Amino acid sequence: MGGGRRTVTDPQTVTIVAHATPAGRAALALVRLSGPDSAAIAARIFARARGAPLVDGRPMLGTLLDRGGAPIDQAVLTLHRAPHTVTGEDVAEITLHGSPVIVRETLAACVLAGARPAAPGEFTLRALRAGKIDLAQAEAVRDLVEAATVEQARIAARQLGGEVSAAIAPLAEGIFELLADVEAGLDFSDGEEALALAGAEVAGRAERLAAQIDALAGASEPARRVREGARVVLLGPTNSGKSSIFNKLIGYGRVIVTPEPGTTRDLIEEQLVLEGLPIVLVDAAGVGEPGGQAEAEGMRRALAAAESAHLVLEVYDLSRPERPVGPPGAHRLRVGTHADLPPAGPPAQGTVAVSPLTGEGMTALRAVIAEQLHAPGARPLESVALATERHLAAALEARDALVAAAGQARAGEGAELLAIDLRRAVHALREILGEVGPEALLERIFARFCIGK
Amino acid sequence: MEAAAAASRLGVDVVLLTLDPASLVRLSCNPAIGGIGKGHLVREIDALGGVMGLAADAAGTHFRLLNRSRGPAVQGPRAQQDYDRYPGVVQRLIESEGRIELKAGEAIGLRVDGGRVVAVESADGQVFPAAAVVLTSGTFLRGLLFQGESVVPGGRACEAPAEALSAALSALGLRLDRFKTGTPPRLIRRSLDPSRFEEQPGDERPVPFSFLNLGDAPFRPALPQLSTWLAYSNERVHALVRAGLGRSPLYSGKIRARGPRYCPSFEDKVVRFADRDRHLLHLEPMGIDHPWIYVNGLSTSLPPEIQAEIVASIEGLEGAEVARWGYAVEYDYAPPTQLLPTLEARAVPGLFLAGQICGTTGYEEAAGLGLVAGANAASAVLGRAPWVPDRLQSYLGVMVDDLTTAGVLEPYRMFTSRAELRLSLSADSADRRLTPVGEALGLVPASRAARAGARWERIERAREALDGAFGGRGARRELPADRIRRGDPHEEVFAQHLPAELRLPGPDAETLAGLLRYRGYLEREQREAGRLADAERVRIPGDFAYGGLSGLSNELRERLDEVRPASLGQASRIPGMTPAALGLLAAAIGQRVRAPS
Repeated sequence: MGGGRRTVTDPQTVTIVAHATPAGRAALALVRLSGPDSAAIAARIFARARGAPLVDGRPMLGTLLDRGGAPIDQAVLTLHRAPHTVTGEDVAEITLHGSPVIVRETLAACVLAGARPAAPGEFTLRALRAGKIDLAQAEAVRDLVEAATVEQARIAARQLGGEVSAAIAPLAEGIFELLADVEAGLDFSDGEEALALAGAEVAGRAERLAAQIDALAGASEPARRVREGARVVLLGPTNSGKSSIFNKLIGYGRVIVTPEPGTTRDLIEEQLVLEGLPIVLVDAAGVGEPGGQAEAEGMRRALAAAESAHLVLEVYDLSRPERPVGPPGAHRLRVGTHADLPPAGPPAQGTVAVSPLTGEGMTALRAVIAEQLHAPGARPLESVALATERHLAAALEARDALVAAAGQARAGEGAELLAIDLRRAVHALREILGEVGPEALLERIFARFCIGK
Repeated sequence: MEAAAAASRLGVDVVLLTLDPASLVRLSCNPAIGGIGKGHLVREIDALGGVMGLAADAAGTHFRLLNRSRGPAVQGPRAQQDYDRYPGVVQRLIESEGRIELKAGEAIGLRVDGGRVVAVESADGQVFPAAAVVLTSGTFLRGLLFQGESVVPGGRACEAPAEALSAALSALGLRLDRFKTGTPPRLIRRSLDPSRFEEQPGDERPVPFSFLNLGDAPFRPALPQLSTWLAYSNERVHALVRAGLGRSPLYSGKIRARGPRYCPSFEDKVVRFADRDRHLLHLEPMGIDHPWIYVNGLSTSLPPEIQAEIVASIEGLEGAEVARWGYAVEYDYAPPTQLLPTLEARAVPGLFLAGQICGTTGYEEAAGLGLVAGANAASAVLGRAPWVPDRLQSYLGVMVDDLTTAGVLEPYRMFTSRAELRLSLSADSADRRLTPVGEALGLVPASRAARAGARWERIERAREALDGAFGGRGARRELPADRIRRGDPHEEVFAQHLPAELRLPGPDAETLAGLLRYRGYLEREQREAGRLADAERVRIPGDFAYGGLSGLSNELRERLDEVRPASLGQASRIPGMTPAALGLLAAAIGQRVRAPS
């Protein structure tokens, strides 16, 4: 959390400063202040033309002053007043020219005027604290900053826009309501009406909620793949030309290619981006009769890698007579190499014919891989709600707990037993957004029921 | 009362100072004790040697085990009480302690010397030296009684309030706030005809509160048993309430303090549940020869003339005479986050609070807190280690932790949903959970602890016998536990599978059946307990400076500073705590532990 490096002071009284654009030379740079003294500090280092006073909410052109009060740059200052700002505090944004020297001098001037250099993530933390964003959004900020592809950035931006919470909150709400109903039946059985729900109703509601989580997980799968990347494994007989395809796809001679069988023995991984989808491409040993122990181990690893891959490219040599038989399996794509040589027979069903040597068919292969993996360029992303592994794991735990509760309800088990699983489900989903205590549960119970005794 | 009993049990001399000794332990509202959650508390008090369970068994006139059709963890014993006899029974139990001296007088101040309480001053000029003080002011602190437009100072009907003490407490640094509660009208019993209502008799086999009454022989109540009756409000009644809202102090703005949602005024019910065309009312006799009926569910502070119309509009009550009108009471309480988990006020060492002054409602909550406060006050006097009941082990622990960690927004009442480990805290296991604790503290005599130990040994032996006989492989027969879970009567299952020398008395057999029914779940809860206990083990230094923790909201920082949680687990239960803030706190503690600066 970086708490150790922070100065020990009260954040409500301390204004922080940092440059919001990357270090280095650029056309423009942004320096941002957040905290109660933002405007006062800005006023110390910034002067409007003809001594005009500073106003809120409007970009103002003026002169930036160094620690000695001498002009160092022409800049634009905008003052935003709490609470309607990114951090919920007063914020000052200074757009200046992107020279590292000027940026450094400006930061130094701000510190001299009373600001403290911000710790990593501190602006986000303040936004989180002020309730401007929730935990899922705070995570999205980090993702956005770290995004390697445009599509990853788009997902993070959508998550930051609150799509995670918007999708999870109603689900958590639904489970919470079910739990409140079940609990009310337990704690107020002596009340003025039969509050206890029938087992079949509890089961029905739990199953509907579980199905909704499943649907959300499914709809988020393409986005999750964009975020986490997809694994594509090249699999085929020894010396069928897998490594040549590998090199061609990644764009350079990463793997040693020889005419001798069994050249590749270890798993070799490289990253590439296809239509916005980050892919880990894996070249593996050829499968067939092993020539030795090392080769046998290589084959074992190749098959294991294929087992866990999102897509397997089944590579074979069109110029040799052997053909894969039968229709291609799910998550499998047939690739015939040496399309530049005379074929030894018709290609197997569903084959993409390529020649890494001439480049023939490689564009088509890229397109088919992207299509098979539902690359975002190929299809719009339906949902980004469960695109992050942590969120998915929590949602699936909630799903499992709901299924367990439904099973118990159908078996006629006591409500106090269902409540255990429903509590687990609520807890798992709330972990994505934030916590919930028992008070909140009672709050819900009382909002819904007239309880007299 | 429990505070005095617990302290005297530990060997400390106790002065019980009260406004009117004749009204001590008066059941000022509902003449009943127990319920779901509340009954659990009474069992725990009893397991710790308290008096409430024995007294309620002796003065009970109508016993019902609530949630009887449900699992044992959510079953709560409840009993109507004889209003006239209950106080006498309690006092006789207390007198046997011998160390309690009853004094009449109004406490108006506390003497503090060297930062500790040293004496209590009364209005008539007496000074009672005390090494520790337990304050249980109920609804009396600056109490105001509301009835329509009328506002009268008072602690309860016809009883004077305690006016001076609040100022003294404030001067000592205790922050006070206001809560309200209410009570329904009482009717003249002979003015109504029971045959007009549906009768609700007590249980055929009454279940007592005290473990001392859960013996081999079935429990037989000492008093003759009474029925209660069911009545309903109707649209005409609701219209009267709506028309009178302007004259209800709750709605005219006279009372601004929060009241309990789960014991709402009848006005609240009508307003909040406008779609309801009737509400259930229980007509409860206040004792064997008491002339009044308590109308449970009709708590109101409307003016008497409207109350009269309401009563007359209820089917069956047309000719009923009102003995006493319902009213609302507003009183001072001290937000309990100012207390240590021993119930000692942080600001006033030596001063312990219990009951409604801690922001709770109900006799059972008050008694439980009294026991904790009394035991800790005595321990402080004797120089012994304080006792904090564990929330993973008891509802008492849940209550003390909820109050001192999270505080209250409305009068606090116990519910089973407040406990993380509900199945492990069933009412019938209170003796296993707490009697050894009580013995170690000196609250429970060795003979009683041995009795509880023997009971659980019996249960354990029978369980092993059932496991041993039917856990074998190849047996196509169903396990006894599975049969019980499926709903077979446990008497039948045990009779079939237990050798005669391991047969259990009725209450023990019930307990074992519950354990078998929850098999698997109890183990799961214990694993959860381990996980929760881990967070409790991460201690936060008592002098931790929250002001120095960057990244917390001011609000959260203030709460942390007031509550001063002892562990990360306790901190996580503070309202408004976020995972981010908890992470910050964990990191800061880790750092402090690692870097000895």
